Amino acid sequence: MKLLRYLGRPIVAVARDTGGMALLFIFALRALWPPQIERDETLRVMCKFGYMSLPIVAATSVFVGGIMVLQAATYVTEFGAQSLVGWATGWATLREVGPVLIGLMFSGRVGANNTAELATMNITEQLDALRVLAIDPLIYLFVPRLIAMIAMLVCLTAIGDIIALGGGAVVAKLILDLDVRLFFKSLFELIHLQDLWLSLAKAFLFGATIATVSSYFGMRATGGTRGVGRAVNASVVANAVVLFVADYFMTALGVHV
Amino acid sequence: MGEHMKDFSIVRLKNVSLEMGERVLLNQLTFSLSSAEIVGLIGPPGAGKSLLLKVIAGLIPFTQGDVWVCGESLVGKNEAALVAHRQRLGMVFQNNALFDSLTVFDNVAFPLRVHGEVDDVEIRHCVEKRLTDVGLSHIGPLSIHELSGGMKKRVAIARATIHDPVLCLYDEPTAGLDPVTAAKIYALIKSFSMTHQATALIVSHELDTLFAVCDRVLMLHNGQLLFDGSPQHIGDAENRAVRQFARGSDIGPL
Repeated sequence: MKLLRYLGRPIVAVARDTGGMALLFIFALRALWPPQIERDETLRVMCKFGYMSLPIVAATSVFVGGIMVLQAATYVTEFGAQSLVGWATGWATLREVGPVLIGLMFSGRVGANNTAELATMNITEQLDALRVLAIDPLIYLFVPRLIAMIAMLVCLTAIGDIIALGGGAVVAKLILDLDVRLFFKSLFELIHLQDLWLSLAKAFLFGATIATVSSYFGMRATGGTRGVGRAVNASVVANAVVLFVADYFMTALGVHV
Repeated sequence: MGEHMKDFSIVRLKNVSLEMGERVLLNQLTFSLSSAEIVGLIGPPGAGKSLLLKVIAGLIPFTQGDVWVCGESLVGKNEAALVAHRQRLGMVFQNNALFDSLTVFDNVAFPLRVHGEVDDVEIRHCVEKRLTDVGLSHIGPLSIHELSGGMKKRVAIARATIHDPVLCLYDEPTAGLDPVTAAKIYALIKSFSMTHQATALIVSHELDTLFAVCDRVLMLHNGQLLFDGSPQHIGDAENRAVRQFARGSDIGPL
């Protein structure tokens, strides 16, 4: 009996959290029609989440493109496939590495920050204060964060993809002495528009999951400052897991597109 | 008496209980608060005082009984239905619950802005007047973290009362403040209640200062209402625990 209870507790906790996050997301969808959007709060968090994340995403993306070229360099040299370097870098960056790595960076920086902020607001009774002022915290706080994270992660992924391809072209020139024009020629000839759409669709989905997971753990935090730490920890772990699960299904879907 | 009380009550509780698992946090509470009445709510830690304020505010659902605010029952109301109820009340939280991403001015203006009923010029006028009322006319542009404890309490009172609520709930409004600042806060609460004919329910452990401003005192212990009467008579209450608490004695059942 004890063993069953020991094994069952985490299963119940995961089921409870999954259900809670699903309900939170459904609530946000209901708030979109008729639109109940706090414009000022949405713009404020858009700037905080998007603009402030730009330097770190740009820095990461340069190296993402470079790493793709470095990984390919051995085989490219061995088989003399220089003309395919641009395509290979673009294909891997757009379909997989770009959105996943930028999503993880975004989750670490923005998602953790969001959980900490909402958890602190909950513990210091600021969420109760909003409710006493007849303001629904979900409409005032969660819906703007959901919209901002989706919009900003799509923009950051688009920018990051471009920077990663630029970084790849530079590294290809330095390591493989590959002409930049040849790099982009193979990229534009062999990459399909679907690859770009898949990248942005993944970013859209990751933005929604990061907003939902990080807000859920923030808004249900209890137990003082330790509670904030626990909420951030749970949010970071859950966000990474959910991101890879979502990536698996998007990739499976994308293979057939 | 019951019907008469119902007609003139701002708040009325009838057999209100709150149970969480096996624990009874509030036990069969019945009392009412009249218009413009200032009522002190006292009791040892864990008695259920803050919980009771949150039940009246509609933040925590009770498991038995009924609560009426301005004649409207809270039973079965969802978040959307509670909006109208909450617009009638103001609440000062134990640790102020000021929004630290906003300035003092924006915190006080917040209730007026989000409901969008008044224009910017009127909001400015109302906020400046209320900040002057609480003695903080010059600090509008400051951030919350730049304020002292007493200033934060005053800002919290200004925010809770900016929309002229008929009922104001104060959860330890003078906790951690020096006696002079505490006396000023109580004077502020009394002045607001008298000017706006607002009912005040104040949770506090500073009995002398509280008794000086309130018309009536309620004492909770283990979720039960042990005393409901005037502050002048609490020292002679029949219940030993009430007498002990009122006198601050270490000898007795508490």
